[in-house]
Amino acid sequence: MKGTQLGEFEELVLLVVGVLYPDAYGYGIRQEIMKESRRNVTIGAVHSALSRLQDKGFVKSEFAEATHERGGRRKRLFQITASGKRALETNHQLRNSLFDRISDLALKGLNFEGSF
Amino acid sequence: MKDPSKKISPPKLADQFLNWFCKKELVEEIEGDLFELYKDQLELRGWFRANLVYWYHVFHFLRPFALRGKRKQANSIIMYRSYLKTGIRNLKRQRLASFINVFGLATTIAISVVVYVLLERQFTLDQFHQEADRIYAIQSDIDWNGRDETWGKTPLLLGQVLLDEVPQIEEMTRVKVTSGIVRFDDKVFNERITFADPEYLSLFSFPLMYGESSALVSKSSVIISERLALKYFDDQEVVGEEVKLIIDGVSHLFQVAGVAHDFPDNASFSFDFLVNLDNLENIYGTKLAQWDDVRNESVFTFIELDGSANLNVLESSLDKHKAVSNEINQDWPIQKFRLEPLTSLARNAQFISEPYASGSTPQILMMFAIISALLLISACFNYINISVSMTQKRLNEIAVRKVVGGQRKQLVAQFMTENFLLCLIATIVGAVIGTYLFLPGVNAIFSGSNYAVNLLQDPYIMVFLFGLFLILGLVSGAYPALYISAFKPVDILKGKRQKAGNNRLSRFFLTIQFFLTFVAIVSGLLFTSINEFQSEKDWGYNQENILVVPVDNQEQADEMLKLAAQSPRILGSAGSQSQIGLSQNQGVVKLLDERMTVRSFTVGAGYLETLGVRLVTGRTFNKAFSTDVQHVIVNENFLKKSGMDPSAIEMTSIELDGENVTIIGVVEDFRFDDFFTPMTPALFRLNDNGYNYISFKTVSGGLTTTEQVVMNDWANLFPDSPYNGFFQEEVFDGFFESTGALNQIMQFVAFVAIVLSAMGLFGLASLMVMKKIKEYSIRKVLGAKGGHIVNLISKQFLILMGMALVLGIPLSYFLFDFMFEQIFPDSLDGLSSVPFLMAIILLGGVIFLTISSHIIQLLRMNPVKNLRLE
Repeated sequence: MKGTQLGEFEELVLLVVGVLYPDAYGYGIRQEIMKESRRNVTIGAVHSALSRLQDKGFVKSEFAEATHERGGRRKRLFQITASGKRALETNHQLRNSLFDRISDLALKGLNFEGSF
Repeated sequence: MKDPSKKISPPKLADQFLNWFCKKELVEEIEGDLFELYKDQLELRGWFRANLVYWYHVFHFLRPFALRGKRKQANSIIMYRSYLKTGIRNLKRQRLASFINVFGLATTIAISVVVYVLLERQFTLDQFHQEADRIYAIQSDIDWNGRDETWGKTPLLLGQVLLDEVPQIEEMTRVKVTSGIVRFDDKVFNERITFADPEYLSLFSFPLMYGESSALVSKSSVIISERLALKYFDDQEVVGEEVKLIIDGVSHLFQVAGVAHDFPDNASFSFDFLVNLDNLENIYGTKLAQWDDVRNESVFTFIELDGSANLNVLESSLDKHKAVSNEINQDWPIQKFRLEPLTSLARNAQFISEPYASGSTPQILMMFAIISALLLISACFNYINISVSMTQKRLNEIAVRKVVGGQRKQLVAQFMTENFLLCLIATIVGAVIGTYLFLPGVNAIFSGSNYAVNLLQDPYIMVFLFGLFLILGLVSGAYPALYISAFKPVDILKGKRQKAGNNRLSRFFLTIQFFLTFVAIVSGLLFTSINEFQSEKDWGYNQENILVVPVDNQEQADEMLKLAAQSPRILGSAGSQSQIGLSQNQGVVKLLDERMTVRSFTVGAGYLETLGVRLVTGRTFNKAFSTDVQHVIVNENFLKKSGMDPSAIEMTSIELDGENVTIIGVVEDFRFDDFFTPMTPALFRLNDNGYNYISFKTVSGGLTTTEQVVMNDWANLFPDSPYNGFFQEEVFDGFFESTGALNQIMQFVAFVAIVLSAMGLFGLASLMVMKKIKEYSIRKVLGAKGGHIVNLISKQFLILMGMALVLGIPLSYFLFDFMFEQIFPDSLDGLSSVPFLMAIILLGGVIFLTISSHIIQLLRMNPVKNLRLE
């Protein structure tokens, strides 16, 4: 099998699945991502990422009841699994620890107004 | 706002498409998500955009995770890779056949690209104006001596009245185009002057490079084109400069208030020197507040409507205004005012008398489209013939593929892949040739045209090429693929198939191709011969060694005539108001019970002698006879059309424009229109005042030196006026240029057709020779002479050619007889047989040359080698 690394977009989707719990499903996730990140995302991309996440075991899903607003079709609700949570934490820690190790000077150097 | 009971229904086709490609277990949740999306979009942006967005998202599910049964058929992807590889190897191995196929298809695709660009230009003329779909030109349908005619102009006041009266009209502009002399420093030229209401620049989308378009409100402002700015100032940023406009000898000062951007290539109308319409009053004395003569004081009227306007209602509300206008002008009563959309104005320009927009004749474009389609078909036939014949070499491969379990479907897929690969190469090569070779060629042939296309950025040409590629791939590949894949492997391996009968379809295709080629050759030769015929045709007068100088006033005319009297090189001179081939008036002659329209040339005494118009009977004008202003001289066509008795014509009185005049002479028909137009009745009238042209007859060969002298004198005498002299023999140059261009194109088409059919023939001949190689070898062994074998091979092709000719000669004769009758009404009395004979010889020659290479090969071969091989 492929590695169980989290891609950038996958991580975003996984986070949103967590945020929207217990009502995380394809279209809702897409709307949330569009709203928060201002990226233009197709539903297909979200579904594709969800299917990869499920293959990796980071999310699990089940069908909800059929509702009228979807023309009688059922939603598939997603939920973060324990390993999904671990993967998020690992990513989060990695980033934080790397970010903390950046020296003040390096960050200041990025600030052009201050350096001249 | 939104009707809740209305059912939300996303596009069904998109759902079906999704169901087709998507995994069953995913469909439900995806459809549900898409449904929500659709609902949101419907509220936000309306059903059209919602449908688009829906489709867009459906297409984005074409991803590996959602595709149905991908894993089951992973093998097929590997197989396609293999097909591609065998395909490329095959193309490489059969270099000649591949080259013939690619070259043939690419050439015809390149021609299609050119035709596409020509047609696209025709259909996008003036569409760049932002509000083009809401702009209309008002036309006047006129009863013109009992004949319905559409005039592009309306009475001057109509637009103003409508603007006040119809609330749906958002903007209106009236336009009048005249000509005048523009002067800046020592630069003096005749220019096209456009008078328009200030709304001209907001109604039409002609953006300015410098200056403000609102400046046109001022009567002393002028907006000039970039071309004019460069011509007079050698610079584009010239706002504030002052230029002089000289009309009828009076100078008017204008200040440049703006310079327009270079006009788009698909602008069918534009301007050079644009000034406020109100200037008509102080320059021409036009009464702006009066209904006036529809002919003399009329203007083009454009209106921009808002979305709510109903055209039929608006058109019928225009009716009440025609009465006012018709009262003033009773000769040509307006039947109806009609609204012509700007989007179709250029295309319909040929049906409008004096249109503002201009478009090329669609008939000729249609002809090009048909020709390119026929050439494409011809190239497809080639491809089919050659690919069927080339499989002869690959029979064993096909049989083995089938024996080891290849299904027919897979063989079809294999051959289709190869075929699409070839078509793809051909399409790319063709697009490049068309864009970078043929289009510049077209631009060189049609002077002043600027056709271009951006292959990588123009989405339409990409769609066009992709469509062409798909159609070509399917049409040319389907038959060979199905034909080949149907072979029985056992037959092939036993060797039966190789001896199978002739391919009827190939012969049929070749016959059709011969037929098309024959027609193409005939048309090329006919156009050439007609071109020659016309350039040598008698114009009915002596057009050589005549220098014509247009003059603006009496002083210039007098000076020019004085000059003529002094110069020994000038044999004769005369003034005139009209000039043959250039300008004339229309008149109406009243016959017994009908009215006849005639061209009326107003000339000075001696004009007919100077231009060498040939008198048949009677006499020409004489200055000494004061009554000659009441006399006319008519052409022979006048007698023919009016049915007058030629012997008793002299001193017959006729009514011309309500005035009684007497015929004193008859002249031979002379060419005042180009050869596209049939001869019509014409007459000369005498008027020794108000000359517009002075014609000089020079000694033979003295034309250029005389012009030099006249030009120098002119520059000294009249520094304020440009010298616009020309040679009389040049008046039809535009006509000869366009027929010459047509001629060149036809010759090129004939050449391509010959090459294509020669290629197709070459492929088929090699197949036929190959098939019967053993028969020929045995014949040779048994002592057949070379001539006998030549006879055997060429016979079958000559039969095909014979069939093509039986079909082609009568058909093309009637076709071209009809066509040339339409295009050149007066030129020909039936077609000559020479082009047909020449086409037969040419086609026969090409056929013989093509198959001779096979024959020579056959004759040189050692027959034993072929027979031993089993």
